[in-house]
Amino acid sequence: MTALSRRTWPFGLIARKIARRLANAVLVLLAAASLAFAALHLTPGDPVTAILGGGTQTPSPETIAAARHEYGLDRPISVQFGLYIARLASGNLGQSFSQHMPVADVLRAQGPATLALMASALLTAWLLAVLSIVFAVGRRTTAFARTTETFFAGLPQFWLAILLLWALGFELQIFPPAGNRGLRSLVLPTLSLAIPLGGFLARVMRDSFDLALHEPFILTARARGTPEWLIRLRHALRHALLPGISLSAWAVGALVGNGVVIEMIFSRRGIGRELFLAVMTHDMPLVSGIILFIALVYILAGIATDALYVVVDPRLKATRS
Amino acid sequence: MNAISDIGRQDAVLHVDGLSVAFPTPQGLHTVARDISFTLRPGQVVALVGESGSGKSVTARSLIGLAGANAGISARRLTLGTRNLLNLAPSDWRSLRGREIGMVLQDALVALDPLRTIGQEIAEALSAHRWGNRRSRIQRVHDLLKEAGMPDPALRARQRPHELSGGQRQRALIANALALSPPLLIADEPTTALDPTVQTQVLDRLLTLRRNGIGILLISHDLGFVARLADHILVLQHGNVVEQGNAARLLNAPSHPYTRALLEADPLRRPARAIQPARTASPLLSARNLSVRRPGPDGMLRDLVSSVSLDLHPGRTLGLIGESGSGKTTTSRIITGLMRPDQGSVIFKGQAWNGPERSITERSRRPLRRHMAMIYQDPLGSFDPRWTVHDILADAVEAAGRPVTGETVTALLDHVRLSAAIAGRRPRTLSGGQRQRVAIARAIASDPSVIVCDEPVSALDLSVQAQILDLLDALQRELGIAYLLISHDMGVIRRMCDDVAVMQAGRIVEQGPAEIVLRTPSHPFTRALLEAAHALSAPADSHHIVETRAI
Repeated sequence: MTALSRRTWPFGLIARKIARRLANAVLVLLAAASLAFAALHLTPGDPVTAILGGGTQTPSPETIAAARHEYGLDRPISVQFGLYIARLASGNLGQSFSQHMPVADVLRAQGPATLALMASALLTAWLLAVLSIVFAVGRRTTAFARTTETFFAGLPQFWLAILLLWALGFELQIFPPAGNRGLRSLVLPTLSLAIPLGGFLARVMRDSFDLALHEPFILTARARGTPEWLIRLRHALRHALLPGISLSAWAVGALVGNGVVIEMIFSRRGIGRELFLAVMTHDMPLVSGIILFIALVYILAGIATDALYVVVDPRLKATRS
Repeated sequence: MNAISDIGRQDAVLHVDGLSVAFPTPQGLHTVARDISFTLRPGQVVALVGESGSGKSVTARSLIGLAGANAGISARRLTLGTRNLLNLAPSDWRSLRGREIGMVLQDALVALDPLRTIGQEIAEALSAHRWGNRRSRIQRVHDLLKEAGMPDPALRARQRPHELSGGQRQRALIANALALSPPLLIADEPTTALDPTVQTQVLDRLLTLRRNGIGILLISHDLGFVARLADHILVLQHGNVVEQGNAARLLNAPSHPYTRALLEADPLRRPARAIQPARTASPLLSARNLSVRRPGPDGMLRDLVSSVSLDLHPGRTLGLIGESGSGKTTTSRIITGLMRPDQGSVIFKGQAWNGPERSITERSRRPLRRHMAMIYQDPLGSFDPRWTVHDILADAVEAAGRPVTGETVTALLDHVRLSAAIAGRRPRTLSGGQRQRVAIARAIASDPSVIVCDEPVSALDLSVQAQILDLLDALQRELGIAYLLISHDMGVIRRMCDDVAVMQAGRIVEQGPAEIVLRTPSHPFTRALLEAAHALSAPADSHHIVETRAI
């Protein structure tokens, strides 16, 4: 039906919107970098230990001093901060202390695994939520679906992960319990993240969905002879999408946080596990690199959310410019 | 059965004999429509008339199988053409809807999916019955829109309801119901709460359809509108038909008191407002040269109102008329101090009340606040649903700085002719008329000298409208309040106003005493508004010849 839904975009508005977006993104990244810097300097521990190979080694004071000087850690903190921001601004994420390789390489190696997990978890959560909303018809089924959704939303992800690991990974051995090999290894971590999120999404969208079903335009659609499933999928669901999209932007961030635990449980490669290890070893460049990476994902999720809003509800085009 | 009625049945579009609709409740079966019988032939209009709750909508919906899953429908006979409508399976109903019966609901802004283009909506009426292919459906949509009198159909098909004018929207809604040329069209309150010019366009369209041989079942609370269109009228009260018969006879000589009450409720059939003694020298509120500009959807600045000047005198009513989007509501927002104008000034009780100067703030307005009150179209939205009527009124009395006792609330309810027993109830359990009375009681709680009434009755049934207008009138005489009455309804304006200001595109195009402006309008727009109002409410005798203007 493209010929009936084509629309025109005013060019000037779009350009202004993009400029404002970019400025916002830079500010968010700057704030994230500053916070990462502050957090690591305020917490106890010494990055030099990480540089010199962790707590098991006992380096001489001279070695420590040399390393301190080499990495600029003996300079005043304001200078360190200035250098740090300048380095980031030039696009250089620096060298990981603990892994002795460029942070960009670490991100390149670990990022795709985490992004794949996030994407598959988000998609699965949406699939579960939409199926539950659209196909729970009738008073009893709806009540059952509602209860199930609330129950799922309340499940702790780490607990669900352990349960799935035990049942499907070890006892029934349907899916591999650990690792990063192939799509099958993605199933259990995805389900652990997606089931509670799907419950949340469904709960958030169901109210709008039920409200939409009582709108006059639904009656018009029924009076046209449109089949009931199509009315639910095409008309009512679309009116319920906006809260779900808002929640998804938040969920992208939450998935990274919860992903830390899930990646540990399933021994997966990924940003979450790297972040955990980097914080433990006070690996300043790696921590800030990962935080900037996550901030970037957040920003992109925000942009995608805004774009999706307008696609779902074109009436917002005027108000969201 | 004699031979004549059998022949009549043969060519009838719809034959209803002894239809009853009931719903199960915890207290047992509740019958909402009882023993309804009529025959609708091609090119005829049968109207079901009554107030909300009279069972007319549910009757209409039971004819298309949408009265609700638990509705109990019984009839001696219920046939569409030659087809029996009793005990149809859901899939049979679905194949009938849209193809054999079209339905049009009240306001296209909500009766068409706001997120989809009207082209998509109309095409769905075709695809639901597997009509044609994608390409031929698009062509058919354009043809339908053109037939409905829509200019530039290919462009309109790609627009959404909110991008169209009220009249275009309503045309699209009707085109959607007629996509597969069903022989029967059910129109459920097709003009309620619409501007009179849009109402005449809808009326015009329905008249054309009737000429083309479509049978129309019209549901309305507005006997004036029905009179323009219907051949046969059924008057419903509490689910019972109190009177039915030929439209001209029923309208000229109504036999049942309820029918007479409905007829008298039409504000254009009631006497115009008596001319009041001359105004006092100094106005109570005076607005001068108000202008507001805001960026439109395209980013260009647009005048919402431009050089608007008004005077409000004690104990008098000033009517502000115009179509939706003409700037009436913006004007009222400036006058109530909810919005700051870019230019101009409002003087209230001799003090600066609103203007572009930063020295005028809500804090500086506060001492005068209680002298101004507001009444809205939808009082329900302005009440906290968890509060009882007592809470709502006590809060208003307190805000005016007066002590709250049981008597103050009772006295307020008494003023608006409500019993004190209502104080314990919550707004949702009240009828539309009762809610508006509570809203009026809240407005007079602070003993104001001005009340701004924004479409105070346009969401109400005509008979309830008449009562609310009478109440406002009585309160004005008792309390000496000045009203600024905003309305698109000429009947309401004629009934209520001493002075009239007509707004079009943000400007006041004509202003003066009501008896002069309404009797000898000088501006073509005022004349068009008056013509539209009269076209909708003309007496029944001339209802086959209609001249309406498309705007």
